[in-house]
Amino acid sequence: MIEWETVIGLEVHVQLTTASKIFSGSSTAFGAEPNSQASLIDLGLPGTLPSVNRAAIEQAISFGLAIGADINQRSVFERKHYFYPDSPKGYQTTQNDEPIVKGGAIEIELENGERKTIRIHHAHLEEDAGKSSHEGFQGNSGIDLNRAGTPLIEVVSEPDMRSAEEAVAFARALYSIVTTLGVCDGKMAQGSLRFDVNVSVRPKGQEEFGTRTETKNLNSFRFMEACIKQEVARQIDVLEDGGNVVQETRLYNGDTHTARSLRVKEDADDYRYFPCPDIPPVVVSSEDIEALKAALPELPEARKARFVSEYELSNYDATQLTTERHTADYFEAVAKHCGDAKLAANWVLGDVAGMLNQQELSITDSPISAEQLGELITRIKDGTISGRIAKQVFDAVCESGKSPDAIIEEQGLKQVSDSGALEKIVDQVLADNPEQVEAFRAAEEHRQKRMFGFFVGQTMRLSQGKANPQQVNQILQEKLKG
Amino acid sequence: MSLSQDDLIRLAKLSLLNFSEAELNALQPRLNQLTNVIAELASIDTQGAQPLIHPFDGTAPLRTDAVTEPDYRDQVLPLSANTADSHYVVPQVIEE
Repeated sequence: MIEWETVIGLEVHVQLTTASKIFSGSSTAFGAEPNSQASLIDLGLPGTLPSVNRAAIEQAISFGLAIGADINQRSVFERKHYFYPDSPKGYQTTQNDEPIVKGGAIEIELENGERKTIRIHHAHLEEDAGKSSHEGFQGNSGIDLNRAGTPLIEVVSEPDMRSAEEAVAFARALYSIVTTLGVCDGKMAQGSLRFDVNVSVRPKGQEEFGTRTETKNLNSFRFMEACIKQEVARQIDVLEDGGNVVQETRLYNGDTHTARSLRVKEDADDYRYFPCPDIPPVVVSSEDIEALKAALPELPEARKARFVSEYELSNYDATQLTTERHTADYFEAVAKHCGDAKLAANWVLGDVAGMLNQQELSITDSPISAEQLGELITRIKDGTISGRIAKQVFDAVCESGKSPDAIIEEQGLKQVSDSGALEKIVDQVLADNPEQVEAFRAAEEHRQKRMFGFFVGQTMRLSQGKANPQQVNQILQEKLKG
Repeated sequence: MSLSQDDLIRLAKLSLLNFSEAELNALQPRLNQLTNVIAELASIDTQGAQPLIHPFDGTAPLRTDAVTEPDYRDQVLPLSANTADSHYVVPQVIEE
């Protein structure tokens, strides 16, 4: 039986975070009324001329610098011709022969800790197209051109990935870099990051690539992984049945988890590229590039390494925290405030992440600020509240926005550490459960250990969770001896 | 340089144009007249010459990133033959 090897290359559309479009002063804000942000330039009306947005050029250069690529000081915009109603000009203004970013590489780390370098072929600047809706227009399509002209960089990898897992690791690493740089907001559900995957298979050991297919517009890591696995299995089936893989473009449906062929590529796409006569070459000075280099933030890989060494976090936690810049910033603010990085990491990756996920919020909109969470953790550490009560305070802070101290005070949640008061509660528990006490005292030591939990639970319940657990253990141990 | 019928059919497809066979037959010699003129360019030695991207040597002036364009919807949407809910309406465009 033939052993197959998967070969994957990715093309990633990264929507930039400029306020205005790449060639016009129209807003790029998401969610506006249809066609309210499409100017005469975006529509390609006669007599209009594009003018290049400096911020888009700078963001592309920052990305290039972050991945160690060569920056083309002279790059050229070209016209890529195709007819589709969401592209009002009849061509897309993009870069082809002289893209702004050439080469570079992104390091990935797999779940087993293995590291690998994925080479980048190039990244070019281009404009996004509008959006078509196929429902609600009585068998026709509705076109919204607000997105037309939004700046993108298209990042094209070399075919260096050998499994769906590697492709997802690459996509995540790229996500971390662009969100850390602030050149992309990372809102995948809004299409800010879209992946096209090129997949082929070949018998292991064979040098020549197999015929590849391209699946377009995947906008989640999960879909990407599922789609690649499915496509690899499909291609192997075709080949093992004696067939040939057809070079085609495929479309993945995330609702049904199926892909279908969109169009077969009989020959290379004929886009009739030529340099855009409306836009002279873009030239950037060495000084500008140096200034952008100096302004680069700490990148995810470096930050992860620092989290491991400075805060003694596990590699796993450090990876989770540095995938997204704002999460890393939030964690650092919490850790500084409470002075306990491990507890801070547990809360940020546990309760905070869960709450944000449930409320579909990003960390920048978190209802509990980093300072408030830091204060909450400080109160656990200094014994003011127990870990269990802390969850209650956490929920209350998220709901009311009040400080943890205010909530602890208002709701009387301070941990009871007064031994006199605790003894009274323990006495009550023992008096209420004479049979269990008798059984405990008669039991052998190894069984006693298991039975002990019952008394702790009852005491905590009677104290409404406010009893200091260490003290409860101590008092119970003494009293149960009899 | 001469264009075959197949070349013409491919060009028509790329341009989203439909021709009858009679039209293609009429078109072929006329287009070939054009391409013959264009083919004369091939006799020029362009070895080492950089493509002319722009007629003058300037570079693209860069614009500050700011929103300066107003909402043109009320002026522009009515230019289209068919609109609904602030969308341009076109025949279904799900690809073949």
